[in-house]
Amino acid sequence: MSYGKQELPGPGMHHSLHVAAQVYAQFLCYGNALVKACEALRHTLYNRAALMLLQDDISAFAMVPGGVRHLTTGQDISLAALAEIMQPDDRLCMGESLMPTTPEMPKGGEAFRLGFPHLIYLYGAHLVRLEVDELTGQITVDGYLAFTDAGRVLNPQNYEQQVQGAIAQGLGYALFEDLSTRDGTILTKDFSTYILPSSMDIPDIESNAVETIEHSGPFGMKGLGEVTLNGPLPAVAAALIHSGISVNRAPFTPQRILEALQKQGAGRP
Amino acid sequence: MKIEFILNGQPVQVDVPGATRVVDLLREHFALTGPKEGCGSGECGACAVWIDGVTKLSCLMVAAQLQGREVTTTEGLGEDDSHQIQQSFARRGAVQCGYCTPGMVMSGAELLRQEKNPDRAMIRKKMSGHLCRCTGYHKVVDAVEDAALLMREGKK
Repeated sequence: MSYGKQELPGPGMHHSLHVAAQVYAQFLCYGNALVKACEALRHTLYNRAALMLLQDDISAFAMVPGGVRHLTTGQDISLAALAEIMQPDDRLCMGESLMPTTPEMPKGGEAFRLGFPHLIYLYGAHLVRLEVDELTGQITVDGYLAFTDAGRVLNPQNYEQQVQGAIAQGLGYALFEDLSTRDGTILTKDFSTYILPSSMDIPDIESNAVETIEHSGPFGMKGLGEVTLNGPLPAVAAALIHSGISVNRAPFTPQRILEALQKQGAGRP
Repeated sequence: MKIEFILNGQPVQVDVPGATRVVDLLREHFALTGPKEGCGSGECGACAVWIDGVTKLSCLMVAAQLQGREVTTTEGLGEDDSHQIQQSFARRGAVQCGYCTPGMVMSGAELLRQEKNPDRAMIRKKMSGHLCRCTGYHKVVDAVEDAALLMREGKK
């Protein structure tokens, strides 16, 4: 008899797919406002550059690294030189962006008092591979694959950071994190009682971007963060249910897994 | 209490209560803000520094323990430029909010002193004393691997 890690009946590895959608109004708003503010600043820079070169057509200017170029003559003016002639008020540019709601507020619009209807959706699909130790109830996550549609990817490294970080947090909610209170007092108030996943608990996470263009978004992006946080818990739950372990309360601690196994008589060998 | 020790290669002398926590001494007295206080109870790893080249948690040590020792923080890790592992953390996107990073860098550099070619499992084990809420650890492991490779190739 082996008391090491055991596989559950049926296929040893359990895969589960979870598909989630979430909205991103805030990213869109601040991103679009930022683009407008930058455009306003660029306009001011061209204006000041035109003044310095005694030109009157600002459409003949373009941004180059570190400065502004007058395309007709090829003359460059550095940003430092432009900043010197700009008054403090000139250096401040503002942009604003509003997120429209529905074109026509549906009858009984009271329902929307608490928030706007969602307009921009993100989509994600998660695949998790995990093992359950039947003796200890311990879950080990061996592999993770994520597909995310967050519009256009502007910075692939940042994109992966958001996906991987959110999945680690989501796996924390699935497996460990359990805020416990009594009479309004938090009982799990340190990292030895409120367990965060460590580098030993999270596998390598493969992130794939499904790029779409969101025309209302800044440069076609929608924004990314929490949509990937939503996937891990249902994916892990689905994997457990798929392998015959009926769980309905997170986090899926060893104790809860063992209870579920015992309840269905599939427990200890 | 007068305490003499080596801090990032320089001999220093301080006169502080012996029970001052090392993390406070470094941050408040020496303005070395690399070591961070996360939990203050030895659970998160954000305050890690080297004491005689070994990674220790500075929130669990008092100033008196530094007498005659050699202390290294992330500020003193590189020689002329920043240490390879610091560069790799930046290049490989292993930093998000950055709070856990100085501690991770100390553990990572210690690992690379001991093991020139660590595999991902070894790196994960070494980093397991550092809690990170942002990265999901994947890029942290990438960065240590990257630093190991570049150091084997002879880049500092």
